[in-house]
Amino acid sequence: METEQTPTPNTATSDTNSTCEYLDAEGDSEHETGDLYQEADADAEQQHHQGHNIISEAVSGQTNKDLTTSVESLALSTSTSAKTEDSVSTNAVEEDLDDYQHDSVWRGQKKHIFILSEAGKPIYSLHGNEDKLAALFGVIQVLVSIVQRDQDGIISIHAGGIKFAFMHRNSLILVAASRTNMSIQQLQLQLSDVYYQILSLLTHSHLSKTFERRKNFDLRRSLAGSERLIFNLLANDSSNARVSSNIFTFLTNSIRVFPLPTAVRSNIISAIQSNCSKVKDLVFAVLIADNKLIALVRMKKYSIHPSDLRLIFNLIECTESFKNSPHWLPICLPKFNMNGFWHAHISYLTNDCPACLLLISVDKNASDIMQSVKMRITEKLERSQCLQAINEELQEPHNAKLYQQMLSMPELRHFLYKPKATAQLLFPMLRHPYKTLSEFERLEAIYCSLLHRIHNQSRPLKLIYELRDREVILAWVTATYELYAVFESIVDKATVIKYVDKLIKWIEKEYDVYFIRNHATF
Amino acid sequence: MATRKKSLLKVIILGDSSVGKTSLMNQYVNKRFSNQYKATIGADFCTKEVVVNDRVVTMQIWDTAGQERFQSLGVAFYRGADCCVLVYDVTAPNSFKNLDSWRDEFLIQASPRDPEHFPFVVLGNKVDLDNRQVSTRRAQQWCQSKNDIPYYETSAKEGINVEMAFQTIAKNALEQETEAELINDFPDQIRLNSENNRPGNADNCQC
Amino acid sequence: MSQVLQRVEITLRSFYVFNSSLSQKEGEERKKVLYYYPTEVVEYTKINDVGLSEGIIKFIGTFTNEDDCKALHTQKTTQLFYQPEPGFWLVLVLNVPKELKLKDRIEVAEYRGGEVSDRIYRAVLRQCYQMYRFQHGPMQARLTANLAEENQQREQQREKLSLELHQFYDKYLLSFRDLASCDIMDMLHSIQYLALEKRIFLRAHNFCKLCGDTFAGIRDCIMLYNQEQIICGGKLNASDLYSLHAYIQAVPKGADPGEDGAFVEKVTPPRVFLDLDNCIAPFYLLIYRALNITLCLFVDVAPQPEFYEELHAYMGPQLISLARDIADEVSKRTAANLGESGSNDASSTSPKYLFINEQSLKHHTNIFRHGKNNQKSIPRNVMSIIADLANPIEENCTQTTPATEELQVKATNDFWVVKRRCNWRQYYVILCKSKATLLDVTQEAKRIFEQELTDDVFFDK
Repeated sequence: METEQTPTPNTATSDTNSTCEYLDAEGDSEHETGDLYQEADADAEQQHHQGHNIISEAVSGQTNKDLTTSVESLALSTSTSAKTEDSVSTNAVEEDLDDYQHDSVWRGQKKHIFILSEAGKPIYSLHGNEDKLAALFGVIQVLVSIVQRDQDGIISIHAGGIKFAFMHRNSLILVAASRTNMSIQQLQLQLSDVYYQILSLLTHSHLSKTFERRKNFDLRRSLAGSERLIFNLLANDSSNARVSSNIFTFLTNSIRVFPLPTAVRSNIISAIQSNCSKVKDLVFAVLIADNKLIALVRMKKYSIHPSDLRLIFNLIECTESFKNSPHWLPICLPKFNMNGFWHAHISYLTNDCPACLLLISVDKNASDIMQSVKMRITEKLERSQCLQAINEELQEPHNAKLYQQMLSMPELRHFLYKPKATAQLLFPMLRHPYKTLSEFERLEAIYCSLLHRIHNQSRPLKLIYELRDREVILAWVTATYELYAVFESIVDKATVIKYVDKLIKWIEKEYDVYFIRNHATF
Repeated sequence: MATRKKSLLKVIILGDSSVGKTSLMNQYVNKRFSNQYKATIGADFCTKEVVVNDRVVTMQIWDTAGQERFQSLGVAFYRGADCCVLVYDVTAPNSFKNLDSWRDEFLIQASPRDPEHFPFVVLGNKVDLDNRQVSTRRAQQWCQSKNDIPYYETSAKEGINVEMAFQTIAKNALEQETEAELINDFPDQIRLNSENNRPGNADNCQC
Repeated sequence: MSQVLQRVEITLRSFYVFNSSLSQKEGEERKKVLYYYPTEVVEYTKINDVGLSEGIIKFIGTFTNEDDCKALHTQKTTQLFYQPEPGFWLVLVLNVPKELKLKDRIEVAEYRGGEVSDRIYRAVLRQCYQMYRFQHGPMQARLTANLAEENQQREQQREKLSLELHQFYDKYLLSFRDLASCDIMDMLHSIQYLALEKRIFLRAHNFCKLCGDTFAGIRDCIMLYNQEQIICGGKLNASDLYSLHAYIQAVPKGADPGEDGAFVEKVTPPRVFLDLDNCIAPFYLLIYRALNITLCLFVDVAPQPEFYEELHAYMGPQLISLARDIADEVSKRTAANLGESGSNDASSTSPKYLFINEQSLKHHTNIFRHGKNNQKSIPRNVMSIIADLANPIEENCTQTTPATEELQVKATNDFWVVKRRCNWRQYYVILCKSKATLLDVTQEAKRIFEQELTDDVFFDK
């Protein structure tokens, strides 16, 4: 049954390979945010030309009045645009500040995220202007404080159809409210991501000291210009009315690897290795394209934690302006060391090759050195035709081999495969019926449920096989991998087992194309 | 036209329970105040925007209950407050006498950086009633003795002084802000040594 | 590495009943607390605890209907909310299991809230209310005075209600079974019915029916075997039947009725409240025993002594004869079962099954929960997994879940649970097989389904 079908080019909104749908889709009111973030990045780029960088400015607290004002207006444009109901109630006047309670759109949102200081001052709200929600933030702070008074801490609240996850870390209180199928643990992972994103911008010690000295500090000032980073982490699921495969890597705390023939990846790695090894203080080199990892090369004895790597991916995904010119900015990798900054040289290889290279150093003055390292790497990659290979893979709407494999097992609709030894994930393109939003929501709910039950801390499971109305679902954990798969409902057990077997064998055969076993060192 | 530079002030309202804080707030914030949380978790909240020096400022107003059973929450309530409104009832001398302890208690629990200059405002409420017992002069004297706290008199019937009181306190609070320097220290750079290296991470997860 | 020094299981931290509308004025907050356990706690702690619950409920109301508030989880506690009557909230606060560990020579407490199954304890909480209502009727019925009316009357009623709650709950909470061992059975509020051969089954049913037909005052008649298993459930709804069953367990057996059968407690028969014909009304409960049979009769009016005599004369001989035949039948069955499956029941690795009829809440199982040694035959994590999988029985079940499901899971300790659900029936088979494959397990489960659950026995409903 090997029918050769050329995949029809997919439109942007639902193809899993393009995770930046929100940046691509224009003119759609739901995607307003994307447009405005584009604008924001254009400004950021401008700032860079002036020799400043939005992120480092905000962090270092240097007061350059002009810059501050433009940073602030940036913050304003990004934050008001992210609030979906502003377009609805443009008559919102000073009088009706607490009107969110009567705003059924706001109230009925599938997901809310609130961040506040320990004083109860609003810092961020996914939906709605956080100023206008100040009263709600006050309530949250008091509820948290009451429980704390008894040497205890709120973890979650459950009501019919909606659940709330709470997190209190280092002067910040974070709350997630969700009507989706995400479990409390999964919501806490989301809050954790956001918290680490904030740390990545400010560092833990800076955050603590700030609030230690000034309990009334308005953290929005420090985060001005970075809302898109937070938003992108939170907008990874269907509650944001878009189909995005970021949810899969999020749920499994992993990243995807850019599929390449072993030889090509080898060449790329050695190009990086040879140019990085003698460079003092250069610790990590990360090459990313299309939200997938091409290579990670590191100084011996040092490694990047999956959560930190996801933050790096998030940064790249959200920042279009990296494409225009190299950037040099401070970045904290919280899981590695939450109190210190690295400096990262971030640039795209060439105008033709949209692969992004990060060179991470401990020396904040090494910008020029990194620039020349980058040039040499790029040269070498060009000569060895690696850039061409990367571009070839990028031009395919989805990886051909994987696609063929999926075609040969038509009742297998989708799967997630994660080896135990790495935090990397493999999954195929989204196919019918999961391309519409409502069906994608269902798929998402299925994976949330499977992952939650498998990884339940008190009573984990090794296998789940479930016959539901519209699909057969399977979750399977072995010593070497985790597999989550969704089949058509008519399929029988024997076929499921046969397909799983076939898939696993194929993956093992093609392992080095889709996974990186060990990150090379220099 | 006011520019929209964001600023948010946490405002605490303190005073004995019968002085009429709630009706004052009701009137000032101009909406149906259902007294939702005061009796249960110790404070009610509302927001109000004012314009100060061409700047739009949001006030997060904490109307606290003040009952003894909520005393242990004081630190939480007052944490990070930018300013504080003290309310008493001009017909109830005890409520005036208690202003001292309200203020002291607040300063202890909130421990602001600069207690001498912490923005307070005093509101003498219920001036429309006949049985006034605390004179304006007396109240003003007290206010002056406490580093010149601005003093206003009002009644639930007409709100004009309330507006001015909040306007004043917002202005004073903002002044405190601009005087303080932004935190200026630049965080540490990573130092490469064996401490930073965590190969045996709990997740043991390389990517 | 950390070593577990001590483990403390789930315990009851507090339980309270409140109604916010009972405290209208500032300073009167204590009035909304109708009941609080433990009673020794300082009053303002009680008020503060209730205040926090009210705050949580109100907070929920920002996003959804306040009435939907179900639970609050903190690091150290699990708090479950239930509003059985408008305005009346019951809150059950549990201390989650705690392990004291030694980590790097320091004693560290680890709270294991994830082990607590909300569903199970919500059901326990619901039953707290049901039992109260069974014996005292609805709370709202006590507060008839209008708010507009004289405050004094309302205050008196409030105090009286509070007193009743104290009388009931002070005792009820003491009798709380070891909370840590609550499991899916507690969640489903299901009761075991006695499996009987057709003829005897019909005899028992006819007997009950005739009692009701013959004696005008008798509204319903329930028959139990050994006070444990239901023979006839009468017209009672599942919830009342469950409460009755629990109630009967607590009634002292009294003198051995001997060969004749006898009433228990003739002088002052207890009053209970039943939801018959959609109306909650009080009835007198008469309990009659003959050999292993317990008969529960519900009458409208307090019976005169002659009524008892008449009933005894009518029922006694018939019931004794029926009781003997039932006893015979039961011993025959037990012998047959033992013969068939050998050491089935003792071993923890032999297959176990559980069958639940969602409509009647009857269950059929070979999992022994209250064995003499109180040993569970299935490990705790597996019981919890079943509770996770089970479809909870809520009143007013609006069907969003499909009617048919099939599911198999394997736990980390090599236990398999196979579940099937169709036509409002849930079936579970639990197997312990380390080397089994998915197909093996499917087959084995199928065999057990067919063997155990399609008997030619009759169950009530």
